[in-house]
Amino acid sequence: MTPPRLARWLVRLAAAREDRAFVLSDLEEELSRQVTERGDRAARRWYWRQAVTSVVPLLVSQVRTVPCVARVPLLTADDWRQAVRWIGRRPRASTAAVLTLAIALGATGAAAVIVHGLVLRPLPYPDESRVVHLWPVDPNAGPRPSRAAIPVSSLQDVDDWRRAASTTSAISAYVETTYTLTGAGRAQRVVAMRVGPTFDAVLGIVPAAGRAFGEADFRPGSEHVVMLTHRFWQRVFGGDRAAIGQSLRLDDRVFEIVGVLPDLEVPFPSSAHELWVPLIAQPGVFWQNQRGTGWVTAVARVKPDVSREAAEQELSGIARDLRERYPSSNRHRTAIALEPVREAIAGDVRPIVLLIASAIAAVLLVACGNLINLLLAQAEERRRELAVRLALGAAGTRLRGQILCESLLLVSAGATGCALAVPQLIRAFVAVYPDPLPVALLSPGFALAPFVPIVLAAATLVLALPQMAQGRRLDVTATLRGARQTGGRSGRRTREGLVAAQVAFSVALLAAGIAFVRTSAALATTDPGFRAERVLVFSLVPPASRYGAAGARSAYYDRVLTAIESVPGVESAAMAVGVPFVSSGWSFPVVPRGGTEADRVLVRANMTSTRYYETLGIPLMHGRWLSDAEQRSDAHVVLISESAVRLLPDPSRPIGQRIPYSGSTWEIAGVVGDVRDRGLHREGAPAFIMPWSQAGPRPQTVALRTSGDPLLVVPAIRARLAEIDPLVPMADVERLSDVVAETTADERFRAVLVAALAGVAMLLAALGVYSVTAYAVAQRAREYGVRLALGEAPGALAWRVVRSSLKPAIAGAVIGLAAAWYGAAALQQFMFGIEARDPRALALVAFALLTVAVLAAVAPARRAARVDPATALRAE
Amino acid sequence: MPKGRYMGEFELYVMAALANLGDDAYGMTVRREIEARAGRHVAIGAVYATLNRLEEKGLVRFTVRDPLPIPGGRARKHARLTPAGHRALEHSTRMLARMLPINSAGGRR
Repeated sequence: MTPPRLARWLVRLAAAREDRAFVLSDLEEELSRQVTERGDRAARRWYWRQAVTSVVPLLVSQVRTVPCVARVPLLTADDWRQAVRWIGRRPRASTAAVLTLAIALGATGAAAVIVHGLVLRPLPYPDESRVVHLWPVDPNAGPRPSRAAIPVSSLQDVDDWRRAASTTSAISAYVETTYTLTGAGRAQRVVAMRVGPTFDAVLGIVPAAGRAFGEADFRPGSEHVVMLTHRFWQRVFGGDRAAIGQSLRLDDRVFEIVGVLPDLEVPFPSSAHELWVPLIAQPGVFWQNQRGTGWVTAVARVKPDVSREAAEQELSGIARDLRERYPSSNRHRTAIALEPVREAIAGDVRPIVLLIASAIAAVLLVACGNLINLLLAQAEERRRELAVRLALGAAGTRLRGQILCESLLLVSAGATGCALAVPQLIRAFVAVYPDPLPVALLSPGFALAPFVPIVLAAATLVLALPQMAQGRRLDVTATLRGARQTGGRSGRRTREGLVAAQVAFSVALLAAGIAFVRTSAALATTDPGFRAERVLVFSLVPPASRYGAAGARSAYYDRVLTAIESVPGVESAAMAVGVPFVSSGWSFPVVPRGGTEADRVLVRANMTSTRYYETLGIPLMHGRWLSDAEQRSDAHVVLISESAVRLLPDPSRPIGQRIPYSGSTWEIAGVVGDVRDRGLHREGAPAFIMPWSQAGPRPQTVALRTSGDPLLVVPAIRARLAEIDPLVPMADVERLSDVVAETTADERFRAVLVAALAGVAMLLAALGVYSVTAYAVAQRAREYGVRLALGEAPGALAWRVVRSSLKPAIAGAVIGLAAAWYGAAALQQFMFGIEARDPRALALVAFALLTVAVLAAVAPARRAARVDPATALRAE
Repeated sequence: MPKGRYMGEFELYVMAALANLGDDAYGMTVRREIEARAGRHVAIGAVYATLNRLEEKGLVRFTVRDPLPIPGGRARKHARLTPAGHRALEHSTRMLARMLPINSAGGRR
């Protein structure tokens, strides 16, 4: 086998000349050994690893030997002195360069930090990419439900996988649950994760105190042990190690605390859970002991030297064996799909990262245009200076040294500005951002550090290389003979081309920014079908031990609702099994009239107390509400939502129709308005609302409308509820409007970030127009002097200057508009309720940019009009 | 030993490997030796860089041997400890033994 070419080239490049042949032949020798011992693929991997890890030591050892070989230091003190002098002599151009660098690096750096912190940050587990969800799937049944954080595995299957699999180092399962915690202060709801054996090994964590669950903890009867998350430990026990061995009372059962989890920024599987308890199938709970029931989510850690595909293959093989053994329960579990858990949490972040990265790249390109323009403007002066120094005997290396020093100085100044600006920009972003942000995640952390030297080196090269090239091509005699070129036609073309490109990028970016802002605005003004403002929601779960009987429960609920409505400031209160975006009942499939099995629609079942519709402002469209008597009975009358009407056998007269559900027929009493309960960007599910008494022991969400800020009534309500039963906690208290706003946070995030970057690009483009115009004016001062002397009006002259600067801007705007027009298709996936391709918005963008371009050209144009003919002509 | 002659951990490994390998020491055998004994990934580049550094210090001497007269025979740059290298290795191991707690040689693993 021959070595991988790229890897070999890497080693060649890094090794010192005298060692090169030996290193390569050593590697080849070992490679053939690796091939015979471990096979081609492993050998290739080995070679790559050798190459990559060898680069740094080889390069470092070369650097150490360079000064001995060539005793010429790269940069001398004289280079620095010359560089400082050159920069000091043209403060305007230098300031413009530093500003451009600071703005561009600062804005893109801040955007990168924000994207990294909010979108990309990896989970805090060792080798987190190997932690995967295992989804039993049936490839023949169409595409698998992606990111279905829905429990689909049975514990029995998971145990069998664990026993048989050799490609994973641990397999476990989890399912979320909530408990009522009593005894530690006032009663409260806590979210807990029931976790299977070796869950800690799957995540690769060790307890911060105490121990993890052992095998003995998963035996029925001894499963009443609990591990605390670090947060819970701090909150309830103040981080006291004496907590180990104490007990917690959860749902009236005593759990012994055995350990504390480490402090993790991004807790998995959910950010809300505070406890771990052992997950076992309770003896006597029929469905938990059935292999067919999917009620837990399986996770695994793939072994370090195994690929995900290999693990997937092995596990799918195991699944097929199980299907043979248990054909009835495992009929649809013919394969196992592996999915990194990070994708389950963050979703597919690629489109949004790609989007922001493109925006960042556009800003950087616009900034590059500015820098190159500035350099070209200096070229003339530079040429004369270089020629003089070369003629006086300066070595070429000295000139290159000076140019490098200048670039380094400018870039460091820009980088300093950027370093000062980034925290401020992030703070500004957090301030203008409409939603609360996890500020702790927004530190320009270590993860971005590797990019800093790369970006700085790239910026230095962008500045230095064109000038160095120019020095090499220089014709000393011609330059010194005084052949003063006025920029030259080609030079002006290049500069104008750059301005056009800058304007084009800015226009395209601005168009995207406007599209995102409009999407966000469209979502904000979407009618969700209910009125969320001034509504408070919280959940209420009375323990089954005391409120198991229907009578006790409904008496308790009545007292609660009466108590809440007696609180001053509360207008109405209600309870429901499902409140949009907060909780939901269950769904059942309905095949619409004339449709087939494939067209079935999920209908959402709900049960609400009488004043629910008044509280949430959902209108009655036809028919009547359910009467109080019906609400308390087990009568088969229902309300349906408008969108459910078209599923009826006869959609024209819904009221009084009888429809089958759950083995009996139900009479439709009324039709209520539709509610967007699956996100504001899509239609809600059709609803089927039964009398409240039929909710049984299902958890209830309380909703109440207040006259002022709903959070103000919370203490009073808490006190009233504690009077009724101090052991039933008020949990998940939130403003409904906050909950709704949270569902559109992604759209706002995109809008703010893209619009901000577009603003920066526009600013940089304006700077570009300004510098090019200013340069042209300076170059043509003599021409303007002559014109003025010959009697051209100053106003007409200024207009001529503005017009000439507008030419490239208009060309750029046209190109940018075309790009925005055709690129809109790619943006459409992020849009809601609007077309990304909107002529009016594009016209607005073009107008805005051209206005900015005119404003940027005004100052230089006025300078042109004020040229004193006498001075201009004398200067020649 | 004057200041500045302390040896890095990896330098010590390389010198020990040279001592173990005797005549058969060149880049890849040194790499293999350390990897086998220390049980960790060792980059060939690190071995060469270290050997060069040791040569600069006068602790190692290179001899380039012609390719073996067989198909695929390659030129190799063999390395040996110089007398100063032997002394330095011995000195370092002695110092280490003196510095370490008595029973740690195999007690903690």
